[in-house]
Amino acid sequence: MADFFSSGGLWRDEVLVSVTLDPEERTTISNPEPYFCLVPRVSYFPLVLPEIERYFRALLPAGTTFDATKDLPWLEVQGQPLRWQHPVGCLYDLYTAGKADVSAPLPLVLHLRKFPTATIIPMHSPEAVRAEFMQMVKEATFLRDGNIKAVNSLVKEQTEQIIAAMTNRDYALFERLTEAFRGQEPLRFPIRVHLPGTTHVQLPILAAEMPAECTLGDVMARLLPTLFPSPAPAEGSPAVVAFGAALPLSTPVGWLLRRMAYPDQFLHLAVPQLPPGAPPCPTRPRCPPSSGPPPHRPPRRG
Amino acid sequence: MASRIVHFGSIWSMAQNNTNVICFTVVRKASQLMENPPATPKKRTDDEDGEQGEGKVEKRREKFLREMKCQVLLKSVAGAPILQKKKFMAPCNTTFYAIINYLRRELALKPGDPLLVYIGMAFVPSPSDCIADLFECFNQSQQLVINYAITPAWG
Repeated sequence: MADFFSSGGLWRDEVLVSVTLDPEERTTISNPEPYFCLVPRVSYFPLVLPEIERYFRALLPAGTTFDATKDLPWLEVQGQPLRWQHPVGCLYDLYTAGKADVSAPLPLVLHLRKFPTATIIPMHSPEAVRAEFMQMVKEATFLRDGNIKAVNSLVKEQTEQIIAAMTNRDYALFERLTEAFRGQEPLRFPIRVHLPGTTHVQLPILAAEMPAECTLGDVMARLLPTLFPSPAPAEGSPAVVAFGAALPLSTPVGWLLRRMAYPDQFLHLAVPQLPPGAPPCPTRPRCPPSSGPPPHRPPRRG
Repeated sequence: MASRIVHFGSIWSMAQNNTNVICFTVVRKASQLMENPPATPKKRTDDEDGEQGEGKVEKRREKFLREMKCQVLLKSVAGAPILQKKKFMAPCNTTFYAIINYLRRELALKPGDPLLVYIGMAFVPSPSDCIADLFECFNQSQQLVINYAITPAWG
């Protein structure tokens, strides 16, 4: 078992995704065939979007025009815009859990118009996404160590190699390059918990305040006290999913961070099914998926 | 709870047209409605500002817990224009995307213009991060310092 994890077995995992075209875009008599593809769990959707877009754009009649500033492609899942900045694997876990068939495809809808500017940011080119990936690494490093010296000390070639290793899923190379900034003991745990229909939860969990043999239950009780009243597994406590597996609450967090973290250095956990009657935001009144209003009324520019 | 949030949104749009006072009361009500108070204040480790008195920081902390608003300071770097109002209380239930939108509007940027927003002079957070989470993770003296630039400043 140890071999599977230390040789990057999780990185080889791929999920099935089916993409259909927005019915409003349909111009043919019959529905176009959905586009099925296998996407690596550790990848990001904008990296596969060009391929999907090419398939559907070929079906549009010649002369279809798009406004380059407003009509941007975006993906929808279960009626909500897909937040593509999270890794594919955790989005898959969040939206397909509870299905009888564990290998069910993740049903997505491709939209080519009416970009929901209030909710998500445009999907960037694959190059820009790779750059954003490094920002995620920095955020995780900042959270874990309290500074980003480890990432900033990398030279440009090393950064490029890390990004290439992520894209090509070269686990051995990635491990070797990022060894420097995973060696020391974490100050805080870089953990994100994804819940359906709300923003993810990311709170500072000081390693020093947690018990020495910190388990997943301890962390979940800290992050979502209403859903996990005690660190011990209880009747009816929701499943915590990572890489398609429901994790036992007794799993040591140190092991999870070392072995099940995504390449962006965060441990992404999904709680796909909330118990009935649970408030949509178990920690505080959070925003619904639409990001809500601007922070305040803008002052007049003088 | 879901209906409350819908209600919340409609009042927000009203508040946009009227005054900020409504926003204040709504946010306060939301915090009263909460069944569980937020996590206890995290012990701050090192970053004590010399000029910021301990009492002032405590006051901000209390305000954060009471009103679910956190103090945000927008700092311009790399020659970006300085905003007229750079310090404000942001409601915790917004995402970082709201800050980006606000900056874009205030700086009168066109959709294609670059805008770089950093936290801790280190990284660009993802837009779906919750303001409250960012505040709890990265605040300096109970204040979330956000640096913005229109040309790349840090990696």
